[in-house]
Amino acid sequence: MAPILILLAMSVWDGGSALREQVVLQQAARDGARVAATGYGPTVLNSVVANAVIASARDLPGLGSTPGYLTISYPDPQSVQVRVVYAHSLITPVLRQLWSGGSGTISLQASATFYLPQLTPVPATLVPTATPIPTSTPLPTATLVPATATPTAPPTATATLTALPTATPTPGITTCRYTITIPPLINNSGYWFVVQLIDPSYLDASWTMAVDARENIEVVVYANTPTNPFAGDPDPVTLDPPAGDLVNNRSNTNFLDVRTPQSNLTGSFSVYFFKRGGNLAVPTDAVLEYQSRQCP
Amino acid sequence: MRAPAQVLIVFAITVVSILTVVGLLYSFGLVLAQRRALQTAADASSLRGTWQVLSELASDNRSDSAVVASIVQLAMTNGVPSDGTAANASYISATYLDSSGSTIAPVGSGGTFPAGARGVAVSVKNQVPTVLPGFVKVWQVLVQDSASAMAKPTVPPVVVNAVIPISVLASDVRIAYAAHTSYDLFSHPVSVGHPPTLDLAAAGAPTFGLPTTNLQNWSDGQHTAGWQLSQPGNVSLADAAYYDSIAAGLHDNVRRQALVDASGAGYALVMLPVYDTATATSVHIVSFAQLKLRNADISSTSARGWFVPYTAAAWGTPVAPPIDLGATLVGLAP
Repeated sequence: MAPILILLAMSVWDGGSALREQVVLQQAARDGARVAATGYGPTVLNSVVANAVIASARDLPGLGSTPGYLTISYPDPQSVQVRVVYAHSLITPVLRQLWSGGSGTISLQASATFYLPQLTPVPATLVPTATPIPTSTPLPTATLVPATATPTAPPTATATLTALPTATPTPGITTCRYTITIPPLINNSGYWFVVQLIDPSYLDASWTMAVDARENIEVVVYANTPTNPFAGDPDPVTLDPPAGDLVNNRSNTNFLDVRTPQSNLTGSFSVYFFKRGGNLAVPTDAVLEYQSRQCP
Repeated sequence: MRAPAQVLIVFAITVVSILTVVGLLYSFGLVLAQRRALQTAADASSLRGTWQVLSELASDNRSDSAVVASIVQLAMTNGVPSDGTAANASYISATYLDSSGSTIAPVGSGGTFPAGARGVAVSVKNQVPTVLPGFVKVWQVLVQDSASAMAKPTVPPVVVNAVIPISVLASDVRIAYAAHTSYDLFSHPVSVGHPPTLDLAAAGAPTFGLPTTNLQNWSDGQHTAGWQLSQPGNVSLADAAYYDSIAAGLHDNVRRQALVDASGAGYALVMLPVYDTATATSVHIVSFAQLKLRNADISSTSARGWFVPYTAAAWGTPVAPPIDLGATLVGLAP
């Protein structure tokens, strides 16, 4: 009877130890994940997480020397998972032979998943502009601002005399042509583009499809006063052309052109390239034409 | 001759007793291990829920279903089962907490949660199978654990980038923030006839030529790039209001952030310098506040929004501020 009781006692010791180690591992995984989630996004170093895990699992001195004991992963951009594994060595003779193909160890593991904070407010995406914002010498130029800056009104209400053209030599009026690439568009969606005219000019927009491809397309021009009709909208946007345009044109064609009847426009304008009745699977080119003293 | 039989009987009784005790101890160990796992789930889901509460407060959607979904997702990821109900009531329950840690409403009621919510308390449950002998007839034990997390008020950050060049008075912000009432940036002059518009050039902000261009670019959330305004400190007031230029920049700021609230309105979250005292030419900046500003509420004469809480950092120990103007730190409640 004594051997049986001894085996029983040893198996109780093994089981108790494994449970204790499981609790320690779970706590270590939790502490590691908690530390990993202390930055905005996956910014915390793995070594910092590993230190936290080791410190939490100090009751398992052999954990740090276990190969592959720690796995840090990011299942998605908003979460971090820390997984810790540990091999418990059995001491009970019979169990050592029977368990895990005679390896004599029990593989314990624990994991914890925590939320990765996101930085708010969402930082603005910096999109390069076609033409830099006017510099300290406010030359009267036409400035193209591709869907990033949407001044709704030329800031003239408080302008002072210093805004007037200085003695700096300026080029004469020329015709500017600026090509933009319109991304693929889904059915009934469009791409809007903001143009700022500083010199009095007409505004002409033409849109060209792929060779020999006829598409149901529409080009519309809006004055952005008092506000840009697309302000706050994504780009491209699923939106029928709003009312209140300066000029528009639509056709089933591979080339469409529209020009404002006014030839002395100044201020901010939006040009809307709209695809109707089906997807536009590939990028297309459009050309904006206007008159200015300085082309981009 | 009767001794062997007696030994067998004693042995049998002893073995059964020992196995029962061993089973009891193992079951107790399993419960402890499960409780540790549930504690992880409760911690993770309460923190996730609190971050979601902050996000919902920023958009002013205050969607209860979004908070429920976030809590359930993290609880399930950490091993808590789901019963498929809307709030997973069999395994997960939660309540909203205010900034003092008091319960103010249950999570999962639907609709919008109270504007005073600053965190959640989450309770999770699970059944743990036992290894007790069959005659005990205890096949499983219900294990439960809970955790609370909150966005606690803290001191504001020392530096902030992309601040809007409109200063707001601390006492005005406190009233509007606490009461969750709207605030018009263009209708609170520093003094009679003196608009709250700031000239950030003197504070080191990049300049672009005309004052009108400066004010528009400082308001659009892009052109100040890495420049930061620090507090405390004095900042010069602009020589005029320039509200039309600021409004133009704010419109662009809304479009660029591309945030849309539950009503379909585009909005931006902007940081404003908060001052406590002013002179004829400058204001003394002591804090920052975050405003939710809808595109439709911006014009050249009015820019009306709501002050909302924001996180001062991803992690840290909250330091109670003299006035709660919205800066918070998310953490587990002790």
